[in-house]
Amino acid sequence: MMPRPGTPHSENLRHSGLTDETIRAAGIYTVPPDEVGKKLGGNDHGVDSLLAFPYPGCEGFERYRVFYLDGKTDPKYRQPAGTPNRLYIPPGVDLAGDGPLFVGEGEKKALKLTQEGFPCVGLGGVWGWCKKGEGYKKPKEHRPIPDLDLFNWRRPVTIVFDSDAHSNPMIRLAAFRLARELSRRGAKVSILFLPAGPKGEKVGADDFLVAHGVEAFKELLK
Amino acid sequence: MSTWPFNPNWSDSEAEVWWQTRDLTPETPPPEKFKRLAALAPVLARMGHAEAEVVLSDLAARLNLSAKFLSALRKDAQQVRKSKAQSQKKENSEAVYTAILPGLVDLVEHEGAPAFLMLNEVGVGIAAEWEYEGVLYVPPPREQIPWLLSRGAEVLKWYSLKESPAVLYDDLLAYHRGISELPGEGYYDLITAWDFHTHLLEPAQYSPELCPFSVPERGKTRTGQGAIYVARRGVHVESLRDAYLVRLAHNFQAAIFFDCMNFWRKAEKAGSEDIILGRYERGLKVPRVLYPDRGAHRDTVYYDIFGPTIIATNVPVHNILETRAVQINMPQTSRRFENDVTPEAALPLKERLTAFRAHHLGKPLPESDKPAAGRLGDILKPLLQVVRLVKPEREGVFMGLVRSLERERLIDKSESLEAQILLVLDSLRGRVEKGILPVKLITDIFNEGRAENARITYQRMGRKLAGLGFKKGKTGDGASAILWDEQKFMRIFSSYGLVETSETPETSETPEEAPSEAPDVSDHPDDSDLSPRARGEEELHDFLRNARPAPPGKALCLWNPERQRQAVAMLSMLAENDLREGEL
Repeated sequence: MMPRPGTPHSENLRHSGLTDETIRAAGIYTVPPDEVGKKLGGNDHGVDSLLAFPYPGCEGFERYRVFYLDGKTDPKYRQPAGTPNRLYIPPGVDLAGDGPLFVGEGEKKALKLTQEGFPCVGLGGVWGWCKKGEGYKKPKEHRPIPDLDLFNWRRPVTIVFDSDAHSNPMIRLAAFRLARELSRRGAKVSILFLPAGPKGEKVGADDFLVAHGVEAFKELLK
Repeated sequence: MSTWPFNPNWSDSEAEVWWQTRDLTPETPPPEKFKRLAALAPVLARMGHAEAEVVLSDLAARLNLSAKFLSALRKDAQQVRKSKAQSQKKENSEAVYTAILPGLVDLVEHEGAPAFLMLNEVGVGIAAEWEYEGVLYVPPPREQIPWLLSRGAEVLKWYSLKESPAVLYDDLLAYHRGISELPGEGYYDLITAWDFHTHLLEPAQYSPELCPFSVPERGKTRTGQGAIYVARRGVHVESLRDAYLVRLAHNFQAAIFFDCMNFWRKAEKAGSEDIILGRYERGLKVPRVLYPDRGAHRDTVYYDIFGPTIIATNVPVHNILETRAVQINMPQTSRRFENDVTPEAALPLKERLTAFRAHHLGKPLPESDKPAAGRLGDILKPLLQVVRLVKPEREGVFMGLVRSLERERLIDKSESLEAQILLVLDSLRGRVEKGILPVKLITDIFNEGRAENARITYQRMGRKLAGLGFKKGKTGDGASAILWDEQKFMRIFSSYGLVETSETPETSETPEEAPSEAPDVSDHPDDSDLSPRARGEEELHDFLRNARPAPPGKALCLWNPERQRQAVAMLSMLAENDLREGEL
């Protein structure tokens, strides 16, 4: 069921600048309340509702934006226990083409960039291109996930990470390692760490596009 | 702020330097430039010196940096390196628990806590902690040590008394006699020597696994407890949990007494058979895949599991550990053993043994040949060496036991499948043609009269014969066969206890005598000229001729009477079969 207008789910998607058409095409839906527990493997204590992002071509795999009852905010996103990291490939992204491709953090940012004409694949976190448990906790180990093999990487690729990369060396390290991995696969890689907000607040690709528009984003790419 | 082209040849640190300086130019105001560059010191410190120099010279060229500023940046990086090394050293200096150290006599109790009893230049001393190769070690906490620790003061007292080990040997003999009834005098020496062996394990390549075996209520547990409570780091376990055993063996190098019903089934269930089977030989390790997520070559840990072992069992050890163990068949006794076997009662003896260890640690054991052939000799050699070192007067008693164990093993061997095959081969020596004996014939004779499920296939027979050491060949029509070598056959035959000779099998005259006794292939009439009846009779005569006692002083052929009856019956049957075939 597509999120109803006026609900927190709908507001959340609107906040990222996603159109109804994008939401419909991506199949984003509100998980019925009686299925929340099942989706989270019974681990749904304190959870109010789930907004599901189905991963196209991933045999039913989904990640969920979690909305909590008690004001808790983390973890924002969850996925079924025991499932591996996957790449989020929004509808319309050409796997085999040789045109420019963006790699971003998360589903909504990937959708927003793709919607605005910057085809983007989403990672479930800056280390989401590594096997689970590697990278973040063990920076020395970072075996790439098989989904990376789905793409033709012989093309210009821009890694677009949130503005907190400026202050967090671990995020930069993840970007460098991903850049090296994609270069190894033939990509010509550039990195874009988005500028922080006016008060230093964290800014993602969706936030930037909503706040500054496509032309400003294009300026950053120059 | 714009996109930044990534150079895949950069290392992580180089990329970080380039990122942090991406928007600096020679024209950047010096205070801003220096502030930004000063922040690079930790990144430069992570690099090797050569790599850092390359980065610095690139930065100097790109940003027009002065030599003075570069030197200051180098100094900053060096300072970070130093403080990192210091904090690393501090981390390393945090104490590490261990029960294994070079020069460690044992863990002892000192002032109410575990302590190291260490060898030093003047003898032995007790230390609460010990630094080795820059790392500070402390004994494991008391609650993690599953045996009663010797009291340090008592061990030091016995160490200074320089007690004769022969006296201690006698006291241990008396201690074991007071605990349980063993099948013979030599077994008390076996266990006493084993007690000493546990305290002088370092020079030993093997350690026999002692297996008290009997029906319930014969004193298996008392015997095992008596030995394990005086053994070095002796632990009595009733659980066979794999992880616990690995820790006992690897982290403590403990002597372990396994005492549980259905021992082998439990070991299989717990997946710890490899530990139990491998404890007898130094250097054997067991692998455990502890980190499957790390991928090949990084996921497995190998544990040392060598150590003294006792297994109380109500299943014959023959089937379980075969040659690696010494089985002690516990006799029925009318004696009453009133005293309880407890670690506390055994503690004074253990303390004296620990003092003995302190005197002998690092010194070689007396030279000795293996007391018996094969694996039995391997596992008993360290015990013989201990007896020679401690109480040479008891060597005769000990060797008497070794001979008796050797005889028992030969009897076991003579009842094996291989021995039965050798008996068949012996009966077929007359059927050797041109130095060849067909596998099919051997198999057919072997299977004669056997129940369907007890028969073996030609292929299995071929493998068994190859395993016994016979060379493979082919008959004229291309069928599998073995090449007959009379001397080799007699050597194998006697090694299975099927021929008892006046000398050891290796030096026996049997091989030399055998050809004259056995039919020579070249002189033997061609079987094809014999009627089936005559062939059967010939074989029977061969068999009986070989079974006949040899003249005094020569090889004495004494069959196992049961096997002889079977062979005769088998050959009679063969003769009848052949006869029937002839009539047909």
